[in-house]
Amino acid sequence: MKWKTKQIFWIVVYFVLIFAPLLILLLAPRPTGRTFWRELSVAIGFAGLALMGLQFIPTARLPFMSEVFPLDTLYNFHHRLSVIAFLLTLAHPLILFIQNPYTLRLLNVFSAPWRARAGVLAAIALIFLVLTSVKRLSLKLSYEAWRVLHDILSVAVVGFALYHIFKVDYYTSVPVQRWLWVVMGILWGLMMVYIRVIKPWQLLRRPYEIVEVIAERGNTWTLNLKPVGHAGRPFRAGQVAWLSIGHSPFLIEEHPFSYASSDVHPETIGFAIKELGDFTSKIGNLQPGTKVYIDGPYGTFDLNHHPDRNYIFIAGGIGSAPVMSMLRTLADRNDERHLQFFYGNPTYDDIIFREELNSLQQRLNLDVIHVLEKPHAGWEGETGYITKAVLERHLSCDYQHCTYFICGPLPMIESVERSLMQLSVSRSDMHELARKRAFETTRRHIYSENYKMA
Amino acid sequence: MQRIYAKRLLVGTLILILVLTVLFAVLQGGLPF
Repeated sequence: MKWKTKQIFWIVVYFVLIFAPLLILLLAPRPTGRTFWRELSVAIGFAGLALMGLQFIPTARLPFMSEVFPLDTLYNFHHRLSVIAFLLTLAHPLILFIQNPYTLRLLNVFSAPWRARAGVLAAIALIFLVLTSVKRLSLKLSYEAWRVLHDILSVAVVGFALYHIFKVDYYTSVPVQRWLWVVMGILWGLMMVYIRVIKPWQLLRRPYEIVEVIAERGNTWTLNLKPVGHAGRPFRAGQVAWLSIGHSPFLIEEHPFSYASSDVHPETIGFAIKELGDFTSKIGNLQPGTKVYIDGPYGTFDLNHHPDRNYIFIAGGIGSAPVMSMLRTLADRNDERHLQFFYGNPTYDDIIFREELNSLQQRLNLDVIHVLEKPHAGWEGETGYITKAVLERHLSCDYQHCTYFICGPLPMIESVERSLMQLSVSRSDMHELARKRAFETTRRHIYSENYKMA
Repeated sequence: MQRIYAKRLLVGTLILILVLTVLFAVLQGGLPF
């Protein structure tokens, strides 16, 4: 199946999972109707629950799904869709209360029937779920504690909500509607089992160990790993993996990083990690021989896009990690196409992989354009940020027919994309990896440079 | 590029949910006013 066809297939699945309850409400034989507002409340509740349950899927890192959708986009989509689901689900009781204030008595969990208690518990769990996700840092919740809480609350929300609709048993008295919710409930449960049991078990059987930890410029470390007892899992240059370092993959603690090594050699893989948080600041202390479990590869930020065209890479800071993976791969393949790399860094000394980029220029048809935020005296290259003017000065003459790979903090990506569009570059030629916002609530930031674009 | 498509998908989902829920409410409960 082609990439585009797979995307369409998954979008159809997405619509089916969200809209099936509503369509069945509309099309199947149904019990007698009640007032408009009550029916609206019920329909919104069904849609909210369908959306809520769907959230187990984009974050499950299903290989066949992350093959066709960028992982950062999936996580971003999950965050936004969760907010919509939250608002819809809360609108369900609010409409009922406004339409018939007498129903407020159902909030009393001591006197209310179980169908209402379950609804109230689902709503409370949902409010905590959203609150702890949006305000995790303000609440000083550690990432690991938050993930455990997130799992428990997610299961509680859909569990209580399902119990609620089955106990109310108005529209679920229609067999097709009842079975739909049973099947969807099983599907959501399977996702949890896959994420927390099956996947860690698979990882346990494919361990890696640290071969060396190399200090790079800009407070960055290269972590080189080799597979233990297996041949190593193939990946595509530019992809991402989640690393569990020094502990079982069944523990919640794992961190996403881009592969930085050549995909020609999956038997020795490398990750470039910048010191940004409490976890990444300990990378330099890791010892060779430490066990690592790699959940990956994931993502569509790779060289499969338009393999016959010239490539232009644009990165800021540690955003160069996937670009290095691509450049090293292209060098190993003796690729002869014209490549350009616009690379933004604070200072000359912060340019990660500076020396290797120089040597790659000997092996590849590669132009590297360094852009320094705080250049030293005598610097004759570009200064400031990667602006339209900088791009215009250096882009090769066929730039409107090239494929762009842009990686860094989201403000940088958005600014660069705006500039490229002003230069009449098609959106479909731009591929981006913006992880700061996408993974904000699920991990520590990889790219935390305050990269504000001019 | 994918981010833009994702935003459109979200907006489309929300609009479709609102249309279908209101349609269902009208069919079952009649017009609200």
